[in-house]
Amino acid sequence: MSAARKGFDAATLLTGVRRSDTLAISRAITAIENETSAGCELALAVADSRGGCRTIGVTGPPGAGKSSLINALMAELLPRFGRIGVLTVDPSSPVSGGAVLGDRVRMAAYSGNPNVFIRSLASRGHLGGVTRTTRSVIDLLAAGGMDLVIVETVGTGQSEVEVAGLTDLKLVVCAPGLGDEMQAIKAGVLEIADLLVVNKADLPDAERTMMHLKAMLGYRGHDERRAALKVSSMRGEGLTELAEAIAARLAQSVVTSTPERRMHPRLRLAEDVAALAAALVREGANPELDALAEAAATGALPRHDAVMAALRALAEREITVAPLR
Amino acid sequence: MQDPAARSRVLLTKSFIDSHDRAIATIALALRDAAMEVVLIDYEQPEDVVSVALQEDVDVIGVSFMSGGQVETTEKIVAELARQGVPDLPIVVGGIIRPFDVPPLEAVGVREIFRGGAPMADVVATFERLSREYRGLSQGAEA
Amino acid sequence: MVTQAAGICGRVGDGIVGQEARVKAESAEAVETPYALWQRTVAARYADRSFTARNRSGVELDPVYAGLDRHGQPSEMPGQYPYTRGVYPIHYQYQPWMDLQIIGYGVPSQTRERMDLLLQEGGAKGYFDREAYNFIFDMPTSMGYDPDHPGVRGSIGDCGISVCKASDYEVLLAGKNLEKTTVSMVLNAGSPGMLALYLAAAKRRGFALDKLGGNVTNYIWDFFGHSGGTNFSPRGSYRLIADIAAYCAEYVPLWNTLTISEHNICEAGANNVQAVAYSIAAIIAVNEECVKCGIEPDSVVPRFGFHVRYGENFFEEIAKTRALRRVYAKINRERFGCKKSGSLQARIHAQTAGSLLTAQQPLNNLVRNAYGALAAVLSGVNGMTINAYDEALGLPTEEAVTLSLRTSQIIAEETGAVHVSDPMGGSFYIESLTDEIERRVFEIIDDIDARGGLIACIESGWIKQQVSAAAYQWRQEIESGARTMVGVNKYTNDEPEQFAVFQPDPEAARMAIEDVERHRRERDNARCTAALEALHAAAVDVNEGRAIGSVMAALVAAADADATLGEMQTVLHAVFGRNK
Repeated sequence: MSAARKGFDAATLLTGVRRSDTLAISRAITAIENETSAGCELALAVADSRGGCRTIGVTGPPGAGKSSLINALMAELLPRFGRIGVLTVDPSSPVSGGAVLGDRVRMAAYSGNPNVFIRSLASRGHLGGVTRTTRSVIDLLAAGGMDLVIVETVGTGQSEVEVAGLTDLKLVVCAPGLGDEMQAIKAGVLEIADLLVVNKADLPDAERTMMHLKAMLGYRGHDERRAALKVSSMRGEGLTELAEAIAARLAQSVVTSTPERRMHPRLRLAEDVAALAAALVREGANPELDALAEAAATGALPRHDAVMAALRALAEREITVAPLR
Repeated sequence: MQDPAARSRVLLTKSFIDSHDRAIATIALALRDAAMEVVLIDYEQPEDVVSVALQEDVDVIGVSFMSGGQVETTEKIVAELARQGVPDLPIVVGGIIRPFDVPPLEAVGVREIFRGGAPMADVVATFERLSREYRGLSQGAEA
Repeated sequence: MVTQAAGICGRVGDGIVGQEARVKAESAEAVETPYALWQRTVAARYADRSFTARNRSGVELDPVYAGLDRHGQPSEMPGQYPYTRGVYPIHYQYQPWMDLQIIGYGVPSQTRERMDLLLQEGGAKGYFDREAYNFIFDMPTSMGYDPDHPGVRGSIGDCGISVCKASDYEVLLAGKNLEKTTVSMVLNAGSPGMLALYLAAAKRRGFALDKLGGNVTNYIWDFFGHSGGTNFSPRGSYRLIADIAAYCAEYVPLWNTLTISEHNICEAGANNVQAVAYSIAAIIAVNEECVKCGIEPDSVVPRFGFHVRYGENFFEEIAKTRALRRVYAKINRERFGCKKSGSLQARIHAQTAGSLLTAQQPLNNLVRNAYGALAAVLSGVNGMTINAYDEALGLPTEEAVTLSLRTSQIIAEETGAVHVSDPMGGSFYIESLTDEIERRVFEIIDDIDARGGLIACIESGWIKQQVSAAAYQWRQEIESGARTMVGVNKYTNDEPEQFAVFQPDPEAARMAIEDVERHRRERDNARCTAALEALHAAAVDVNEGRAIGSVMAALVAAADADATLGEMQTVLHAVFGRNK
């Protein structure tokens, strides 16, 4: 029962998160990712606490230099946003479920910076470029005092559009000469872009890539918010302009409704209930639930009856967790 | 009951000036194949290892040495773990560990030392065990 | 452009076209057979000298044997394009390989003591009575950091020498005639600055740059596993390689400016075919960069060389060497239009496989090294580094270094392996394996071209994935027992063996730091600062494609103005970027 690790109960973690305690934030993210009951409770507690925290999604094909760009942008963004959280998503192995998370190696300069919190997330089988719980992890970072959260998607070059529903501003990063990878951008990711960033502008093909992307933007009609910019993370060129464009757009945008907030209230409630109920059934030394599970597995009890009994057991469960405020 | 969604998270690291990364890359893949989530970084300062370990909420830190710094770096990491309030976070070291490195490494509480050629299965088993213990230890402390 | 090049390269790999080219070359020389051409060349070059030997039974041995190849054609001879059988018509019979034992630990004065010992033991022998030293540097130096950089404590003087200023070479090479000394420098991102320190030191002692011979490995090309995050950005690295090559072609013409290390790629975990293919891909990327910068490949390529690993697959090691020479010649001639023979001849420095050295039963490593070294000799390499058997335990002891030298001496002077060039040539097995490796190498090169070239493959992480996957597979074969490592997964014993292990001097760090601090206090800081500013300006120019060669010139000037390696590196990193 990992939720019961010392200092790992939801209330203690939440207190720590609100004090911006690194270890509490970090352990709370683990709980959310593992979808433990404490994690579900934490996710519910911070679900409406984004406040003034703004969010950026960064996506683009492999080799476009997403991590390097975020690293290079940090010096420009830190003065504009006091505390910055970065979530980098890498794929989990479909075979073992394990993962090698290597994006933050490119952000080593900020490892010890108290105003930067970087967390590597494994996709754990979730498609769409982010993880199943990324929304809640962003909420948690906001509750932990981050003024800006940057989400870097897996970057397989496929349609990683889910981040669009999670963040205020979408950056699509591409680099000259990626050939086939550009096709993938066209295929869908481009649709969500607020800012198209051509990285590695020092390369000869940069201008051509830029024209190409602008043409694609134009094809989709005029939109004040959309723009294409050239930067070179390596040379530090165009970063100030990009940071200004980001800040300006984030200042304009009022987060009234992200797609999920438009979700039917009943559906929203259903999802929240399901997540917490599942966690509670999974966890804890509860002889009654053990017996129900066993009986359902052997066929001794119809599964329908087992589920109804489990729900009753949960309803009668003594609530030991302090209410989260 | 073990939460099925929980995954061991471990940090593997080497110095930014150490160019030999075959061992660490291979171990990372082996741990991945043992269903762990492996955060991989190069550190510039030993203290950075602890900052990253805290942000990533890892259960074990593995440090690889191929060209020096074995004792001094490890001592600094251990001191920083204590300073940051996580003295129990286990450390293992691997790579070229010379006989004269061993006593001081053991003295600072390194949990396991793996030299080149150590069976990968042993390395994986050690990370699994230490990861479980670290979680269990915290749990026990509460109970 | 890329597509076209890929097309050409596809045809190069085709054996039939290769043969046609050879037949044409032959007809131009009035149907002289390769053997007749070889005889004529040897007679012209070596006058009346005889290179035949007699074995103990009195049988006379020719320096090379020939016959019909697998396709029924007269076989290619050593010293003939595409140099499958070696780059010289007569090789060890005339000039044995150069033994370069890796040397270096602590501060320069400590390494100098070891150099003197090596010389006394009959080592340190270069070609034509030169002294030769193969310096290895500690990790901070290798990566371009000074000993007082806060992140490097604990690694100073450990596993190599700590060098950060021109005056360190005055200690290391005091009293040596640098025109008669070959200095080989093995290092990574610190390479450009390190070469500058040596050139500045030599200049101060009054030696003309165009008389200096040696090499800097310049491993900044290596993004396969040994470069680490301290390297320059991939594009910055390849631009700097072009700059150094252009400068040296003009001012230090005997200097070898680049070592493509097939060895390092193998040691990072790649298999032999991958390692040869990636080595050639690196050469292609360097040459393309040179062309882009307006440098004629023929003016710089003759000073590029290879560093090849000799490990566990005895026959494959030999075949891969032959394939490497052949592919290199074909690529440089047919893809880059090189004409000079020096541009087509792959010079190879061999090293035995460090990753095969085991901490368990370490004396077994002596045997592994001997077989690796023998494979290298049978491949016809130009230089040799035999690892110390105790390197898996730490820095080598003096005894182990001597035994490595003895291994080479036994092969050279007792086994008779030197009497006949390419002794494996004509073997059905070796020839077939050579052709197959060549075929697969061209396949990988085509694949890399299709992916946008090597630099794009480095940036996308593809290369790294390929190498790591191969390393992991090898490890799994050891674990499963599918691959035997004696003393590790078979024939093991539990007895702990106590061996003497060299313990680096813990005082070296203190000495090195005090020395660089004193150096900074005592130098002319205004002059140094101005030189570093000039370096920055040159770096900006070169990065933008102007005045190629001016970075190296500015580095030498900065080193002469007492700038340290780390200070120069900081300037270069600011302009050429960092790998991570």
